[in-house]
Amino acid sequence: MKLFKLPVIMLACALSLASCGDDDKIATVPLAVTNVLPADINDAAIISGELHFTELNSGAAYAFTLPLAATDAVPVGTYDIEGNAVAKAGDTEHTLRTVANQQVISAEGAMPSLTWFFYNPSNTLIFSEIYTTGSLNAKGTAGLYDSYFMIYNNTDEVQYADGLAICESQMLNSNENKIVTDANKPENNFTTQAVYVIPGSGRDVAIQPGQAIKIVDQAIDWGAQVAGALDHTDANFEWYDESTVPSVTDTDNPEVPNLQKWFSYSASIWLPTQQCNRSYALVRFPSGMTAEDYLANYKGDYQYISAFNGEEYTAKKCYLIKNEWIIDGVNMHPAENWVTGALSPAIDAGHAQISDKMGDKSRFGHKLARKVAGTSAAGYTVYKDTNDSSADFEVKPVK
Amino acid sequence: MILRTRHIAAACLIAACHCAALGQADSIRLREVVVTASEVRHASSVSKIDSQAMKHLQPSSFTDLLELLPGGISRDPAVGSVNTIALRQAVNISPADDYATSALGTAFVIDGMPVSTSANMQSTPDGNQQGRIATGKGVDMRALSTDDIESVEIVRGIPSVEYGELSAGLVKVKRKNSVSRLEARFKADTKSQLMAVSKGFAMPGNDWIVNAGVNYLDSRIDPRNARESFKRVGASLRSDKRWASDVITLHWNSALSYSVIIENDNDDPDLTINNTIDDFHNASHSATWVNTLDITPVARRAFAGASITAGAGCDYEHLSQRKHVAPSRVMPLPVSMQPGSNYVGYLPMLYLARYDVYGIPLSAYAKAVARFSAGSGAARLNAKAGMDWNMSKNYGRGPVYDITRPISATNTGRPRPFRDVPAMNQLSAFAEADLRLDAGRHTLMLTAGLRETQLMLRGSAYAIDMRPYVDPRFNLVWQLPSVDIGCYPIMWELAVGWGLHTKMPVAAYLYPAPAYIDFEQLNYYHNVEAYRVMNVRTYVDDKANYDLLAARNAKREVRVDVSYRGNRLSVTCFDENMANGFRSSGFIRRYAYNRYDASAFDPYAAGRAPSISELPSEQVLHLAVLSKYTNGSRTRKRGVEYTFMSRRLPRLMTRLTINGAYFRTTNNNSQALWYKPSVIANGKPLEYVGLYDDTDGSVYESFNTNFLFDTDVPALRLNVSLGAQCLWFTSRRSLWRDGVPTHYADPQGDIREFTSQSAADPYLSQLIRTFADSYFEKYTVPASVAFNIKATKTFWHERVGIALYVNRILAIQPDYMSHGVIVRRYSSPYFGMELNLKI
Repeated sequence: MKLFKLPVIMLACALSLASCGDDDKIATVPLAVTNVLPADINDAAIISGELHFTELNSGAAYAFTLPLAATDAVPVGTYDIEGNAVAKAGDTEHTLRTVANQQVISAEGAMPSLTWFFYNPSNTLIFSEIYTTGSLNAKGTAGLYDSYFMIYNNTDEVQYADGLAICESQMLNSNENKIVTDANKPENNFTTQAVYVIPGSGRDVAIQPGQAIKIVDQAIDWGAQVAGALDHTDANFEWYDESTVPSVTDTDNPEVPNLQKWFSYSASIWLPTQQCNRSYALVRFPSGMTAEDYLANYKGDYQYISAFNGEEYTAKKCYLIKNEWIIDGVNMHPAENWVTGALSPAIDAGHAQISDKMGDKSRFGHKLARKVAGTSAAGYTVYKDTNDSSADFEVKPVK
Repeated sequence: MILRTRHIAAACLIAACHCAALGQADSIRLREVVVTASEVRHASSVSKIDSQAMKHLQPSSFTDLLELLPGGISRDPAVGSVNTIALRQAVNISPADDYATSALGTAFVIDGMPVSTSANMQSTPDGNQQGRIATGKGVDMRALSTDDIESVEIVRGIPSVEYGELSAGLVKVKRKNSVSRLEARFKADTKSQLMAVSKGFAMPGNDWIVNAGVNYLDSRIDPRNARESFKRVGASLRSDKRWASDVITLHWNSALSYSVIIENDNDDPDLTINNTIDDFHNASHSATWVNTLDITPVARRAFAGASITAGAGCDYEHLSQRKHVAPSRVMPLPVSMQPGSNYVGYLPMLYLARYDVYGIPLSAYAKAVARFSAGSGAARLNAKAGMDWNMSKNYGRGPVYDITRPISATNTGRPRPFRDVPAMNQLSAFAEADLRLDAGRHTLMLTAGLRETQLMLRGSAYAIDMRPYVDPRFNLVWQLPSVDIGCYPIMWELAVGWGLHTKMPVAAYLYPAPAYIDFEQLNYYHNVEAYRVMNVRTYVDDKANYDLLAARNAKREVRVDVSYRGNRLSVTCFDENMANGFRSSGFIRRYAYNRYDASAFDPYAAGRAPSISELPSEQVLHLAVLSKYTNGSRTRKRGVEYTFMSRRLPRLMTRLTINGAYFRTTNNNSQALWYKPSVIANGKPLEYVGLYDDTDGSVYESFNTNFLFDTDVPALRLNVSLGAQCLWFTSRRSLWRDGVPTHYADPQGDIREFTSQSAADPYLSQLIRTFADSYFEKYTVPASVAFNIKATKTFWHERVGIALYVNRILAIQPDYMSHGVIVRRYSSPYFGMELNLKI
């Protein structure tokens, strides 16, 4: 028996050595991608741009200019791809962006398909910090509602924040439900359940370049009551909910102006997600739009098919925000159970996470803060805003 | 199983061939051991469970006995929450407060005295502990030990008019009154240990027996957690004395009982974050004394006897919680007991709350019954007439806590002493005739009775006060002539019954604590603490519904009973309809308060906080729905119950019992319900409330069959049983609702009809509730089978006995698809064993 085995093992070793030699030369294939352009310009042509390929196993990076040349080639592998492009439809040029992860390119002909979305890199006001987890309560068991949003002027000019709205997604980003109503699909509109608007007539709330405003839930000195919590008496705005539910009421600081409450799903008070599993949008409504106009014309009740039981349900108490009104948006969700963003990929191609796991108690006291991209010509800090919050945000302790 | 069936078939064949030779001789030789509930030969459908069946079942509490009823299946003990009874009800219904009247309306009568729960008012605002509160749910069967019980009769059908204050059924418990050795029982199962010791003493003189017993149960909700437990201690002393003269015999039975249940659910401060405390402790002590004196004339005459029962029961209930409360927000703290404008403070961000509730429900009961008889031979009449009275009142202090440190940060309640609630008296009279007619080979037995009852509330504005309720109840049994088949007669019996049953509302329903509702009028949380102020308008609303009436259940049933050679099949079809069960329903309430505008006030200039008297205001009207107890729940129970009990096959010494039931239970509202959708329209809550007459409820169905093979081997003093409990299906379907209100209330509180114009109005249309079609689809859980084994064995002249049981030693629960999702079912066996000693 043993005598028979030896030659077989030797033969196998020889063969494997031979094959190792072959594997060292990874085949390179000509690059041919399928471009899927936004529906309303699907006959447009990409006239310029670049694509960046990162092979996930080797880490090797490749860059190509658009349109691709016949000689462009990449080794077979699995790639994360991102790119920017300008597409021309008729006489109009559109700036587009694509993000595609884990795309396989093989010698057998597997090639990536790239879905392009409208992309406007000229940002003005952005969320620079989002703190919804809250600091630990006095018992150390759960989060307080010392939550806040920071809206930062990412330009070199004065920007005005009045009329700007903070909106919360109605859908959870762990949602696998199939949305039936077209209008509520993220690529068409953002479905919101809370719309709070900064008051002013258009030139009242100026934010200087490099400056931010803080918008809080309760503008109180939390730190005076709970060690480690924040002092919000310096907030620029608070959202105050006049509750008709006697067991749940808010506080109203007379020294901090209130946001205008255009809509909230809650009959008592609006609490941003401590689970960090929703999306937030900074919205500039078309000029002249009033709360009455908005509520009358953008009702967003929709039908969906539950992923849990396959049954169709109606989601109520929600309104629509047109994607073109959104000047910044962030999908939030832990890595665990992340499915898809409530925002269009054009607004946020990824998601910012405060923790890997759902319900991770270490998330309390931590905020999402935008990474610094550099310094502007005028010397102000410029935050990174690639409309991909996976890349733009980092987690920092709030204090 | 196939083999066993063949054996039985073969045995039957042999037995049939030798029918003449066997028969009576066998039945004398074999001990008549019944380890299941047997159908009582009675005018109504009654299950009887005797001490032998209990010994075989090895129960820890009364809850376990219900497995023996048609439709019952074995369940693991769940002592972490109240155990309520559910007679003739689909098995897949979870107890819900709005449909608790079935449980509340099942009367437990122990040694002749009903267990009164009318004055129980314990409560807690802690949402995590609601399951442990029995108020309004009837008897908590966890508290009832089965030791010392001689037999239990569970009247599923129409009980005698002698028993009232019930709507769904009657549980009659007879405790042991016999001389016995010192008997001890030690039981251990997966979650509990039980000990019971009892003895029956023969006292000096003739015909006097005293029984004494104590029992103890220590149970864990999760065996790994020693801090969440349920303990029960019971003790009783019972005396049974007879005197006989030439004229009358006197029988006096007296029972003094005490029991306590102690529940704990404490967090371990060494394991909690920052050593925070969350302790729950509930102790309920109960003492009763009941006496029955029965007089029977020796000579048969028109007056056949009389009995008087008098008893009293007093409970001492103390629920105690300690908990660290840390609000997540700054919460206003309304504490005013007075209506009107009030300034309020704020809750601290961490405090240790203490909450105690003291309840002392006291009940007294007296009943006098006279019995008569007339006729002889072919026509005999037995009759009884009597009266009973019961009183219940809670003398407890009720919730006692620091109102500025509530156990729940969102608490809006205020303490109210239970002793402020007046006593409730109920007086009833009844008369019943029991007529037996023998007409040739036919026999007719008619039981017809009438019970009149009323609740008496002192100086009361309640519609139910002194309102008479009359419950007629009939049961007719027709025994058909027997027909011989083979060597043996086959006997037929047909029975029909109809009756009304009345259950009065309990104190917690008639006298709910008032609602305190606070609306914010001025909210001024200034950065400077001295300038902070909050003002609320407090409303104190009486939540009592003065129109609340009794719940009434109409029962109909038809029964067929066939007996042949000691085999017996009994099939009962029933239909019960209770259209006015108790529930909590909404009433429209209009509130008005002011919103004060402090924007022009300069606290720095004034050097103080603003006061509402100096601020401009605007009035806000708010429509809300205030819940009160009503008679708005309907429970319709329909179904078929069946029990087949074979005779014990002589050679196999095995009896087959097959029982089960098909239940179809409909729970829905019987009155239109007010509902305010939580809708924000144009930034403000929608100030409309809709009245919906559609049905908010479900139809539940279940169908089961239990097969029990029990083998009794007298030579080995061994009894072994194998049970297969087949739950063929359960289903639930929501009743159809169109979601369109019939009426609506506008912000002024005016009630208007909801028309097609209303449906087109952008605001009023928000009242239309939409339901997807799938909401109304039937949800069915397919068959599952569980196999249970039980064995008892005695040694040394029955001085020592051991017993064991394993429930679900094998369970067949196939996966099934539900709306495209595979549902997997798992179960694990539950087992226990016990040692019985007779010294």
